[in-house]
Amino acid sequence: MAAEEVGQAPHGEGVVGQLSDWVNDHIRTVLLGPSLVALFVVFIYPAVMLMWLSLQNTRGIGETFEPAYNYGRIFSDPTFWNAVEKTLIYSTGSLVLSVGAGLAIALALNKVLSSRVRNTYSTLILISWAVPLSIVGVTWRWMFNGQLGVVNKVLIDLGLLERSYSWLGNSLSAMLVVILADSWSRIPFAAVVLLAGLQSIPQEMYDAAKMDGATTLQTFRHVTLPYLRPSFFVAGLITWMFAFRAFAIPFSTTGGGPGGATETLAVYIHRFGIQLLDYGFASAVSVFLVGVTLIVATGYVYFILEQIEEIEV
Amino acid sequence: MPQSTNLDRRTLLQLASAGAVGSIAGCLGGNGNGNEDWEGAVEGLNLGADWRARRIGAADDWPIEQRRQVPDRQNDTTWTDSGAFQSAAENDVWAPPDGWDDTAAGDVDSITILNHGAANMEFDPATLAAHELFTEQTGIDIEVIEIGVDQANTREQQFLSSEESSPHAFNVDGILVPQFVQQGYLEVTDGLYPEGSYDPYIPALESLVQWDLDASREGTHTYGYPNIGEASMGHLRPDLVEEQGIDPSRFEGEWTWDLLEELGEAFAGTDVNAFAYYAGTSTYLAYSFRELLFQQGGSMVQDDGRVVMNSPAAVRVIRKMKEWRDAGYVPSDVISYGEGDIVDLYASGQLAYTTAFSDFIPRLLQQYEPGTEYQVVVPPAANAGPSPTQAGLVAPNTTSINRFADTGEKLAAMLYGDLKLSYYTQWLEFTYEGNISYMDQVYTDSAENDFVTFGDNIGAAIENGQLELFPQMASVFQQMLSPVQRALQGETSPQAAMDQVQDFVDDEINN
Repeated sequence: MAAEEVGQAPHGEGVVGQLSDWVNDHIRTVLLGPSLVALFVVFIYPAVMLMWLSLQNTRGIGETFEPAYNYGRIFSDPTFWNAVEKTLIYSTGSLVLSVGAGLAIALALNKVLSSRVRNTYSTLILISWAVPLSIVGVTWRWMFNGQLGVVNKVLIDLGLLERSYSWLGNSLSAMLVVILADSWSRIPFAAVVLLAGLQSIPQEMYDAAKMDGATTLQTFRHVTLPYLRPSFFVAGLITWMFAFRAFAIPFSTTGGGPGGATETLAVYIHRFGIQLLDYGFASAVSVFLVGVTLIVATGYVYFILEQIEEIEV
Repeated sequence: MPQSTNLDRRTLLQLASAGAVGSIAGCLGGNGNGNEDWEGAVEGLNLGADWRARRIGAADDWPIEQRRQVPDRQNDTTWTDSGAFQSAAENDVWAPPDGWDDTAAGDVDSITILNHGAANMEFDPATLAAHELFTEQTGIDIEVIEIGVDQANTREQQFLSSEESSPHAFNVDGILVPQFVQQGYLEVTDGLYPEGSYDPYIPALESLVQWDLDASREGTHTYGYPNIGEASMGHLRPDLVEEQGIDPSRFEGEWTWDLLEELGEAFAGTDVNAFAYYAGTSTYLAYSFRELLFQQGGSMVQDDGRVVMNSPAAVRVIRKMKEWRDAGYVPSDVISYGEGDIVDLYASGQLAYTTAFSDFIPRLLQQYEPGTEYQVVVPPAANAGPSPTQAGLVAPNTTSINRFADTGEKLAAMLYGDLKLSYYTQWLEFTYEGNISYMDQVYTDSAENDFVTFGDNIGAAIENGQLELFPQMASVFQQMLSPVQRALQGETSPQAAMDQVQDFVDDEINN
């Protein structure tokens, strides 16, 4: 039987033909190879190097292999635990605000009957998501500037403030500002995910609830929320993961200050790795950060899958 | 499948080996010369011969009227067509020493310099003028890698730690010079500083380039030459001050923090703040902290070489900062102020007085009427401290030579250093770009010929500028930011904050 009849290409002549044959014989390598190389270069190699560096003492001149040194420092450094605390406050605050506001926007958009109008609004709210985070940080920094910021001016003009308030010069208000800035930039993502979830809820469920005489609040609680749960989890997990590793907004808005009040773990890593050139310690903290994110994400995904199964049952 | 299409394992191994050898060779770069070889090579350049006549004396032949024929900053991208440049070249205002081209530098076509502080040479015109005269007089081109200072520091650490041979020379932020010297990255430049050669320059030059920290060499050596430098000076709004009933002439000559605090009282409750300081980023906090420390006559490095950050004077700086913030003399937001914040506040008319670097002056002269709305003054002395003195800050950087570069390129970089120490370069840095001149004579000549507005006060402020550097200084100020910010908010005491900094200093530096 000729090779053509079983769908195999004939062995070619010349360099091109030989190359073609080689590609045919190694098709898996040819297709997967570049991706695997790229994966190795951009993920595996940096990850291994990160772990290797975390085992080096890079304080002072040169590097020495001291596996426990940096990890010991992590747990004895009070500013590290301050960064952990601030990261949890920051990521939780951003998660609650962005998903909460995203839900409100999604519910409002879901009530818009015209799909053209709804799509236009959906696109418009994505603008804040499209702004680079460092630009968001700088913009919010200017808005909340004590002397020149628009926020103080508006509040004074409205009579809500007597004199300028130093939003970024106070630990509590500085944290509030960075959380607001972060959640502002993440609201569109949550809104779009939740809107997609809302639109997937069967209309019959609402009709049945109406027939049974359910109030709006009861319908929301017993129909909308249960169906929306998977979307909530997806939006929540992704928002939290990004907020937990946030760098651009706290760094460009407050630089982690005042007094470490907004120093998230990523800003803390930058301080040691880039500013103090202590790569080993910064790598150890990075390993901690990645590890926590992976553990939480894995647990969360299992939780989501269980929830989805419950709904399907 | 034909055998010939398989990748031959032996060939692959050969290629890999060749690649590995090539990579290693590339990483090693072109170093290898010992200290003695380098010193011998530099002697061949003969930089010590007639240094004064070449660097300074020849400037007498540079006509003042032609010096005024500088390029138009808005339109010209080169100096070569300007009268100032052409007359400098014609009159050999700077020329390399005779016989330089018989050395290895004579075989060099170009050198690469990493230039930071300006993202583009368009914003560093005096340095560009030096590059162009260097090429004109030696035939050696200068290729510039332009990079912002924040990225440059990290990048320099990377290429120096891997012992790459290029760039051949690079700018080093003053605060990092001792660290790079300690790490053995910078080539010795003693040939540029023969006996008596510091005399024509401000004292900051010697403090900047001379160190005894290099583990690979015994004794004190020099490690670079001046690139640019800035000095802090007082910027006053006489009109605003007068509105509050304070005579602006009191800021001329001798004045102290007492007047600063009086200013604070006068402006309390108004829309304008009396003055401000930086406490939002480590780099800028370092500026304000050192300025207030030096104004008390304080210092960080003790006579025995120990670094002390919790001295009474240092703690007083933080106490005063807090006191002024609590009293409303400065904006509460100073705790978040970094690059540009105070300058923007001043330029928007919301500050009566501030200290800032000299490059701020041209911008303010475009905005305010000199004399009535704007005045440059010498910064104040403290009203307490070991030895109060009117002082500002000098913030310099060097151009230093990559120790791992080839000898020819390093010698060419030494020649370039000779030019950077010349009157020609220092004159243009001060009169054209507004940076400091390391050469005293420039201030005298520019004042006599009325080249610079407020030239006398600028010169006096620069002469009062102080410089103190020590290894790992940047790290110390990094560690200082958070405790100081907490102290300013009242979450800890100034003494406790500086004790925390001292703990770090003792661990990292004093031990």
